[in-house]
Amino acid sequence: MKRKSLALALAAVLCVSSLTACGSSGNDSKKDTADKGTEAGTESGGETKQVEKEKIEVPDEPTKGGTLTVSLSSSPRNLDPAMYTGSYEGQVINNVCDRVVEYNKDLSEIVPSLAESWTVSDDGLTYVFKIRQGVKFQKGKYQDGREMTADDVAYSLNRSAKESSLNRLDMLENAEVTGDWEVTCTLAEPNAAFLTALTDAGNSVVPKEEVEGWGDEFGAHLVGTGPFAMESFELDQQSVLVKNPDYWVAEPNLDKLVFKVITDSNQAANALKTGEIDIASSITGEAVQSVRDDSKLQLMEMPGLHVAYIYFNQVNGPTADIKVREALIKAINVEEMTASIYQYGEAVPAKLSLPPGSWGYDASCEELVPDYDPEGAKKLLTEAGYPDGFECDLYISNTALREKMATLVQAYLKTNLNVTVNINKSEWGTFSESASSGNADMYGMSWTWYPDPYFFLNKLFSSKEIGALGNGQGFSNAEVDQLLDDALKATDQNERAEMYKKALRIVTEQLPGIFYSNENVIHGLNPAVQDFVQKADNQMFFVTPWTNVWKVQ
Amino acid sequence: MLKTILKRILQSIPTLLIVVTVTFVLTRMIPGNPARSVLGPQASPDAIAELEEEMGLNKSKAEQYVDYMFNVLKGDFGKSYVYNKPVTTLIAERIPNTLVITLTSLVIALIIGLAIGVFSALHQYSILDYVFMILALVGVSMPIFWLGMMLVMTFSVNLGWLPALGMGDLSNGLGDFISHMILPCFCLATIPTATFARITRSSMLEVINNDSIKSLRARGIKESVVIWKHALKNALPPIVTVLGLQLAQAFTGAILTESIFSWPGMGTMIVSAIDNRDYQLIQGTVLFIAVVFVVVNLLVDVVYMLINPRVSYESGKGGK
Amino acid sequence: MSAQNTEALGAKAHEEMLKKERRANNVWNKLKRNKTAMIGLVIVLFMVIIAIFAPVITSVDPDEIHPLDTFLTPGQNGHIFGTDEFGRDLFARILYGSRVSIIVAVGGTIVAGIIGILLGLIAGYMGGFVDAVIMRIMDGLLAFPFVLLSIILMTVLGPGVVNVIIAIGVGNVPSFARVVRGEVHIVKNEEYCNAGRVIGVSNIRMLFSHILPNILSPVIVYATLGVAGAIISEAALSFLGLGISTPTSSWGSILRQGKDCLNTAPHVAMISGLFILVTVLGFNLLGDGIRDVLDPKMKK
Repeated sequence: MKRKSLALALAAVLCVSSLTACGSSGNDSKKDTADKGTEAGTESGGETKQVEKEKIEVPDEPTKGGTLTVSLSSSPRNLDPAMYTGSYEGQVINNVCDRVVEYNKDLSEIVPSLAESWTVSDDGLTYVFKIRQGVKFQKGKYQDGREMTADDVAYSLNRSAKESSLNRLDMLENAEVTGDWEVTCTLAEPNAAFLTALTDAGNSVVPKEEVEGWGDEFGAHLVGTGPFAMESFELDQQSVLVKNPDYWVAEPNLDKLVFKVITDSNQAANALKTGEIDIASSITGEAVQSVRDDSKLQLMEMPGLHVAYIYFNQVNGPTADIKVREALIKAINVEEMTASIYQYGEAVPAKLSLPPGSWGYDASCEELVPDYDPEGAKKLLTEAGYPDGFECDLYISNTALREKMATLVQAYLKTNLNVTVNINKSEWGTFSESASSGNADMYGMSWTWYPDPYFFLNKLFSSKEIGALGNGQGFSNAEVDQLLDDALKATDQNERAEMYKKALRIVTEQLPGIFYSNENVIHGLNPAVQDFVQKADNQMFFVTPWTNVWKVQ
Repeated sequence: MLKTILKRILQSIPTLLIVVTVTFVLTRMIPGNPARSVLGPQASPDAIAELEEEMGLNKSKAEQYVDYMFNVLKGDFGKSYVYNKPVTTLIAERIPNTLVITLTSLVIALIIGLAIGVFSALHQYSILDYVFMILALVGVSMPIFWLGMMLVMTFSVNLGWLPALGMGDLSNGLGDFISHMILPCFCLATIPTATFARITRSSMLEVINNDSIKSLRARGIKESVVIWKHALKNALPPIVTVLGLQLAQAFTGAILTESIFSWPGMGTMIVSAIDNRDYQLIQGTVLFIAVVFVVVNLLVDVVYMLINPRVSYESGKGGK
Repeated sequence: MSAQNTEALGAKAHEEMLKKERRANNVWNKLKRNKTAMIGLVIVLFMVIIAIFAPVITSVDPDEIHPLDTFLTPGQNGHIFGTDEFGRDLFARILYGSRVSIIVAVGGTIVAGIIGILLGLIAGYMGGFVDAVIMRIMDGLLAFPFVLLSIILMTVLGPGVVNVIIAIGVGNVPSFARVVRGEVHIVKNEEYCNAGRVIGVSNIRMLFSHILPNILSPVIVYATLGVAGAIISEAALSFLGLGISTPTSSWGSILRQGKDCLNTAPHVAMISGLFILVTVLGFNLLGDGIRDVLDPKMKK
C-alpha cells in the first residue's frame, strides 16, 4: 500500500489544486477507455461480457439531506492551506474554503469566486481584485462567523507566498488592501500563470484570528467560507464535514460530507459494494475492473491532466547523444507497454510531454515521436557507437506502476538493443534527490498539474529549472527558453497557446524522453450519488456554481 | 528468588542501552532525506534546510545521539514530522489495535494447541494423532502472508463471507468488529497453535510416563484429574517457555499480517514510517517494541521460576 | 619430530577418522530408517535439483516478456504454470526462483552460523566479562523482532542477493550464539575437557578440536531448522518489496506480484506460495528427523 500511496502522493502533490479541461470530451473518452479495458480483458483470457448496469429510480428534484462518504487513498495530514505538503489535503480544503478565483467545471476558464472581478495592468505586474461582499466565514473558536473582508484576502495570500514551503505563490511579491473591497497584488515579474496558481487549495482565504488562535493546530480546525465546515479530523481515519447552511453560492444539498481514508484500492471497491462509502476516489488496478463488472455500481473515467514519462539525461552518458535517445525510443513498444502496465484500462498511451487536456497541446507534434522499430533502433545505436549495447541506471520511486514500467523497459532494451538497465528503486525523498541531481541516466516519474502549459513545459524544459526535479536531466534550449519566457508575459491565452505549441514542437524534436501514458481520473460511484462531476485534475467539488451533489435516499 | 529476579532486571539495563544505540545507528544509516520526504516534490531548498534545522539534522551525529539519549531517558520519544504528532501519542493510538489481534490469536492458539497436544499425547500413534501432528507440522512451516492471501481469496473474494481488509468499527456493532478480526487472527494464530500442539504433546508424553503420574493412577485418582491437574501442571514449563517466545514473535507476525489485511496497527505504522524516513517514529516504535520484548521476557522468566521453583534461572533455560 | 611419533600420530589420526566414519555411517543408517527425515530429505533434494537443473528442465527465458500473453492460466498455450502480469512464463520463473530462494536461505544460515558459533564459543568458553558483553549485545539484537531488523537492514543496504543474505544472516546470529553458548556450558564441564585443561591444551585447540565437535549435533539441527526459517524470511522481505531486484525472480517476489492480481490470476500467488510451504516443510521434517537421530532426548 505504501508503494501505491507514494505514487498517488506524487500525482496529487503535483496536481495541487483545481483545474482543467475537456468536460465535453469527457464522455467520449469514457467510451474509449471502456473499450480498452475490455480489450485488455480479452488478451488476458478474461471474457468480454459487457456488464448490464442496473438502473435506479431518480427523482426529478434533488433530495436534501443525507451523508455522502468519499474514500481517499491516502490520509490528509496538515489541513492548514499554507502548510499542507501531502497528497490529499486539497480534497478536503477545497470543500471547506474558497479561493479568490476558481477554474470552471471543465477547467477551460478561470472564473470569479471570492473576487467578483479583476483587472490586469498592461505590464502584467499588477492584478486588482474586487472582493465579493456579504460572504461569511464559518463559525469557529476565535470568531463568530463574521464577514470576510479584503484584509482576509490579502492576509491569506501573503501568508501563502511567504510561509508555504512549496512555493505555491512564489510569483507574488505583495498583496495589499487598496480600497474597502479591493486587493492589489504585485508580481516581481510578469507571470500569466498567476491566476491559475490562485486556484490552488493552498491559496484559500482563511480568517486571521483562527490561524493565529490555533497556531500549529489550525489544520485540524480549519475554517473558511466554503460549503462545508469541519466537524472533526482524525489522522489516517476520516475527516467529517457538516454543511454550511449560509454558503454564499447555494445551500448544500448534503447534510454531511465524510472523507474516509482507505489506502487499498480493492478495499475501497469492497467498501463501495457494501455501501460503506458512496464514492471511491483514485482507485487503481483490479479494483477498477471489479467496479466496472459490478452491475450495481458505476465507474466514471476521464483522461487526467497527467503524463507519465521516462526522462533521458541530456548532458551526461550515452543518452546525451540524440541518436541514442532515438534508438531507445524506437526499441520500446509504448502501446504494448502501456497496455501491460495498466491492465484494467486505467490510462491511455501518450506521445507528448503535455497532456491532451492542456490548451497548449498540439496533435501535429505526435508524428515527430519515432514509432516502435527494433531493427531501426539497433542500426541507430550501432551508428552512435554502441553496437553491443551499454549499461545504464534507471531511477524510479517505489510505486507499483513505476516498477512495472521499469521491468518492461528493462526487458525491451535488453532484447532489442542489448542495453542493460539497472533499476534503482527508492522511496520518494531519495528518488527525488537522485533525479534532480542530473546524474541519473534515466528516471521515470509522472507530472500532474494545471491545464496551463506553463506548469508542464516551464517546469520540465526551462533551463531555469535545471537542478529541480522537473528538469533534473538538464534539458537546455535557448529557443525554448525564449518562447517560454515570452509566453509568460503575454496575457492573451490564444497568443500564449501558439508560443507553447512552438516550444512543444522543438522539445519533441529533441526527443528528451518517452512520454508513455496519460492516466485517467477514475471514480467508483454508488448510483444513488447524483450530479457528481469528474474533473481532469482529479479534484472533487461538491457544491459550486455548476453543481450541488445530492443523494437519492 | 527475589535476588534472581533483581539480577535479571539489572541485566536488562545494558540490553536496553544496546537497543537504544542500535536503533539510533540503524535509523541514521537508512539512506534518504527525511526533510525532503516530509515536504514533498515541490519543496524549495530553503524550506528543506529550515526543516532539517528544526529536526536537528544539521547537528553532528554524536550530538544527535546524545540529544536522543537524554530525551529517551526523559520519556520524550520526539515528534513525527510526517504526522505532526508526538511519537508517544501515535504509539498509544495504534497499540490497542495490534494488541487486540495478537492477544486474541495467542489465547485462541493456546487453548486449541493445548487441547490438541494433550489429546495427541493420550492417543499416541492413533490416526487422529497423526493427522494433528501433520497439520501442526504444516502449520509451523506456513508462510503466513501467503496464508493470509489465500484466506482473503477464499473467504472474501470467492465466498464473500468475511471482509477482506481493514479494521471493523465498533460503532457499526460488535459483529462488524469481530468479522474483521477473524481472518487476521486465523492467520496470526496458525504458527502458535501448531507450536503449542507440538510442544504440549511431547512434554505431556514425557510426563505421563513417569513414575509419579503412574502412582497417582495406581492410587485410583480419577483419570481426568490426573491428566488435567497433575500431568499438565508438570508438563507446563516448556510450554511457558514457548509461550514467551511466541509472545515475543507475535510482533513479527503482526508486521506481516497487518500489511496483508491493512490493519491499522503498529506493524503498518512502522512499515510506512520506514518508507517515509520518519526517523523519530522509527526510533520510537522500534524502541518501544524492544522494551516490550525485554519486559515480556523478564515476566516469562519470573513465571517460569514460579511454576518450576526447582529449576534455577541459570541452568533452567537453554537456547531461545 | 621423530618418524615414530609421526607414525603414531598418523595411526591415531587414522583411527579417529575411522571412528568418525563409523559414527557417520551409524547416523546415516539411523537417518535412513527415520521416515520423517527421509520425506524431508526427498523434498529438499527435489528442490535443490530443480534449482541446479533449471536451464535443463526448461528452455524458456524466465525474464522474457510477452505483453500480449499476460495472466494465462496454468496449461494455457503450453505454459505449465501459466504466465504473470508481463506474460513471463511462471514455470520458468518458479524454477529459476528456487535458485535465489535456496541460495539466500542457505547462505544466510551459513553466515549466521559462522558468526553465531564463533561468538557462542567464545562467550561460553571464556565466561565472565567477555561472556557478559557478548550476550548482552546478543540480547539487545534479539529484542528487535527479526523481520523488523531485516527490514531496516534491507532499507539500509538496498536490494540484491548478497544483501538479503547479510540481512537474514545478521538477524539470525543472536539465536545461534545463544544455542552454542548453552551447549558449550554443558560440554566444558565434562570430564574430558577438564582433563584437557589439566594437561595444558591450548584454548584454541580446546575450542575447535574438543568442544566444537561435541556441540555440532544441536548446531546442525538448529541450522537445518534455520534454513526453513530463512526461506520464509526471504519470502517475507520480497513480499514487502525489499528483496531481490527485478527482473530476477524469487518465490517471494513472485508471491508479491500475485498479491496484486488475486482476482484476475490467483494461480500466481497460489503456486509460488505452495513452493515456499513445501520447501519449508521439507527442511523442518529433515531437521526434526536429524534431531531424533542425533539426540533423541533433545527437545525444542
